[in-house]
Amino acid sequence: MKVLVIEDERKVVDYLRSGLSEQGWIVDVAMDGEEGAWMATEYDFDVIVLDVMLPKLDGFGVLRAVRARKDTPVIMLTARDRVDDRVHGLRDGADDYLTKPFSFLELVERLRALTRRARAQESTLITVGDLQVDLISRRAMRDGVRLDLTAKEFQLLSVLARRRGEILSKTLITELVWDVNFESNANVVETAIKRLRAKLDGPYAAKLLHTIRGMGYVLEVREDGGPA
Amino acid sequence: MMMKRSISLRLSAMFAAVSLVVFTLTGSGLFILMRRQLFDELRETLDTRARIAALIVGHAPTVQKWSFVQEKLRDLSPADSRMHYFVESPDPRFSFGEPIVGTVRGSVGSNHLLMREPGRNYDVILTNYVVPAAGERPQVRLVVGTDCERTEQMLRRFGVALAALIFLSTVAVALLSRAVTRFGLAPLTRLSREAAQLSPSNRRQRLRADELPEELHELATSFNGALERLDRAYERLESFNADVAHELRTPVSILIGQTQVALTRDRSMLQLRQTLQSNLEEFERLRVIVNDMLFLSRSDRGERASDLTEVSLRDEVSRMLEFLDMPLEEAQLRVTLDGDATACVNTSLFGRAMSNLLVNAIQHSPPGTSLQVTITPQRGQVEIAVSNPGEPIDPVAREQIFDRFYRLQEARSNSHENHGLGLSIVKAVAEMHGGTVFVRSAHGVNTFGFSVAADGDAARGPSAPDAPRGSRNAMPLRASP
Repeated sequence: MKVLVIEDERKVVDYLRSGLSEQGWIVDVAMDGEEGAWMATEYDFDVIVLDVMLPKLDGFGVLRAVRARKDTPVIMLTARDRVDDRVHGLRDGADDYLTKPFSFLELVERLRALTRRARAQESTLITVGDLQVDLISRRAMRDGVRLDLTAKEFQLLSVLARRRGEILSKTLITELVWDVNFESNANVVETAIKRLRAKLDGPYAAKLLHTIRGMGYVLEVREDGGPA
Repeated sequence: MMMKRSISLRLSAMFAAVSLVVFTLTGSGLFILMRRQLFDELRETLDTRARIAALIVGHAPTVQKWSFVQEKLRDLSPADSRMHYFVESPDPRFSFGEPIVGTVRGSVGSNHLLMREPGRNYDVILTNYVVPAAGERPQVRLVVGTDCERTEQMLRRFGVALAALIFLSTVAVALLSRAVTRFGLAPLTRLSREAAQLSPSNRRQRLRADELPEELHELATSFNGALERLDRAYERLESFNADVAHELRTPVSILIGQTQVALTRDRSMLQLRQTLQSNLEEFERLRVIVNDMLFLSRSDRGERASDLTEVSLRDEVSRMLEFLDMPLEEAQLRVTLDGDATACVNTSLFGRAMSNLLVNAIQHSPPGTSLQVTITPQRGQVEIAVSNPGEPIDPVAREQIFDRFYRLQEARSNSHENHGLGLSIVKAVAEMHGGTVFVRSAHGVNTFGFSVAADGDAARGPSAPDAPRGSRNAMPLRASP
């Protein structure tokens, strides 16, 4: 998957380049609008990350130039959280937007959604270590013992299991489990994770559900097996 | 834009124009009256002379007597030849004078004729008498004329003098009215001088409206009202800036401090990782504050919610109760939900406000108690209230409780999780939906709530944006992405 990042802030470019590369993306960078528009029309990318404020040609100009020739999905980064910007961008053919400051995890999530990149093999029976999650019968077994989970706890587990090995932010979990798309100051996710963890990992030595401080949660088998 | 000419200039110009018209009308009337009077007098003199002449002519039946007539008539004609006598007779012995030749210019009355002799610039008034025959004298026609030279000259002079007077008076009116309007507009000048002295350094300053005439009183009062509103907004902004700075200072100083500590020695991988993680938590906190502030500033600018859908608010509240199910359970709280109404809302914003209200109630309710959510439709609005048992909130605090960064004393201790914008976001959401917020505290129950316009008309934004491509992205107005 090839992504073109059109952004003039050096530090942003640096972390996006290394972060996205580590996630398996092939990253090309343009540091101004003209170069960006040229690269976007001249080469083929799977998705474009486009900043609004750019030297030489602003993001909207780049977007128009791209849309005149191509249908590459574009996600816009806007510093101004104004509806004008959004309407402006979406009308000109942007596919999504993120308001700065945004979280890297969220950007990755949006990029995936835009490219409809195949997730880890979608099957109805997911295995993580000695955990088995059956999405059809909505049952979870660990080491042959069925876990007694509430509906929400199972939903949370299945979301984590489907994306095992991926760090899921609280925002994303809120959205996938509760269909709530705003950031809440309620510690709903923390509570749910705490409860799930008690049932999932409580009695077992090998922990599967790990907290990545400041980022989110991941379900995976770890070599050390200890608590994260 | 060009500035309009001054009021006093315009007023004096108008006064001058009006007086010019009035003076001209009066002058014309005067002139016409004068003219008629003078000509009447002239005609009367003419008639008297003509009667005398007719008598003289009538008393001369013989040729001898006719020579007297001629002498008399010659005596009557003054040296300046203003009067003309002419006797026309079939018998040349009984004639006198020269006929007056010229073009007839009209008649005055029944028996007066106006005539102009060639080469003259004034008219002659003529009258006719037929003197019947007597003795040897046949019937003769007596023509007496007087020229109007002096009268017309007089009238001309009078006219010129009148015009000059009118002109001078108009100029005088213009000048005087300029002074008068200046004097009359003095309060306005004073007002503008006072307004010019208003300065941001003395924000309490107001215009002295009481000393102004009633026409300006209203202006000054509404101007003072505007100043008052500006002042309040300014004050809010000032304290808001201070609050923001204060709120950002804590995470920033933590970040600087712990990063410096981490970098002063060689640290293990684990220690560095922990520092970075702690940093990330602070950054997250900063991000949330910044995003919330941006959101609030949008509502400050008067932005209205878009992407409105007509929904049952009971369903939306239920959704939020389900979302908060676990925190409610942890806090050992029960919830009852009463009432229902449909309204046009942005469900994401509405949910956010609802969740903030509920979180506020959860944080302030003793365990084992119960919350009550009530949905009440009323007069084009729908009120959503969350009641929880709790310590009474004093009236002063009630006024500020929806202000940004306002925290009740008890809540300040856990400020790390609660940055104090929750309720002000509720307020912003209510305002974006054409509604408002309220707080009540009575009988050990605190009620926080907000309202939204039921039909959404009041809340509908200027433009409804097109839905973005892809359903995953359909989350415009996402409060904090």
